[in-house]
Amino acid sequence: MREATEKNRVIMLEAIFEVFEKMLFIFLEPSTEKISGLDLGASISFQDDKLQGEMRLLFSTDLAVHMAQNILNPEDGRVTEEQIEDCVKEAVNMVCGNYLSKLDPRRVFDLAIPVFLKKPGKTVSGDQAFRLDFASDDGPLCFMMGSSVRR
Amino acid sequence: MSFNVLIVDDSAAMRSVIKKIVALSGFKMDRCLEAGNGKEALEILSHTWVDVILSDLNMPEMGGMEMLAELKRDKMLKEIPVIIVTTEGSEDRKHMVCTMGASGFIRKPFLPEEVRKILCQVLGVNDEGSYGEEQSDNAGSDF
Repeated sequence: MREATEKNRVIMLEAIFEVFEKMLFIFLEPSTEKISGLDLGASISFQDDKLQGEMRLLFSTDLAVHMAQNILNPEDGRVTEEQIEDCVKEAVNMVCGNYLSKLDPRRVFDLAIPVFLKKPGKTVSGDQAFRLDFASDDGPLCFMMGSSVRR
Repeated sequence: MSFNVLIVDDSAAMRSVIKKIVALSGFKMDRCLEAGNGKEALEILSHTWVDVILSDLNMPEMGGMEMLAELKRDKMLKEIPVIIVTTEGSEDRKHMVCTMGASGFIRKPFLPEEVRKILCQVLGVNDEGSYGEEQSDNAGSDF
């Protein structure tokens, strides 16, 4: 597995920060340590004629609940599992779309329907792989992406 | 002056995010209606007038493009401006929704001021929400 280029890492960070700050009202801090306590997540696959891959966002339960509360503003503060799942899937969908359009706005990628991960695996496959860890006031977040050139 | 807005997205979370950001932008909303897909949106539009529609593209049952085509076939509804709100930001996609008759295109993620600007542009109102100056100002438009 080849490590991602610095340029890709910068684009990825920008894509993640933009989505979380602008749309989800969560402020993340990059973490140099591999974090633990990731309880759930969502995954999305993408491809065009040259590239295919998968992105995952993994959350602590506390962070996912906080994000859903931020988005939905329930009067009693409670969010259901279904609502959390919806929010987590939307988050990975937006990060993926944002990253790919920053990568090259001329390319048209097909994005699959996001999948909720109740017990997320900690690796993704691909010729090139990223893992970015983040801390926040409400718990950790991990981003992973694996991609391969289509042959 | 305030406006009726219809948000069309299959994700309740995303409808809530969009509603929140429009509210944060200071754009004057009277009613904010929600639909989970194009079919539900058309049902709402059969009995309720809205001033502008913010719609996703990919939705089950009826997506944003199909809904847009249906609206354009209707004498009354074709006048309602539709702004496509999507994660798909390719130039091809923008061009496609433009040729289908969408009035605007917002790529997620977006800031409150971005959505306010495009709402004012497509409704032909100035920043205070009254009709006037903004009608001839296309600055910042994605089209």
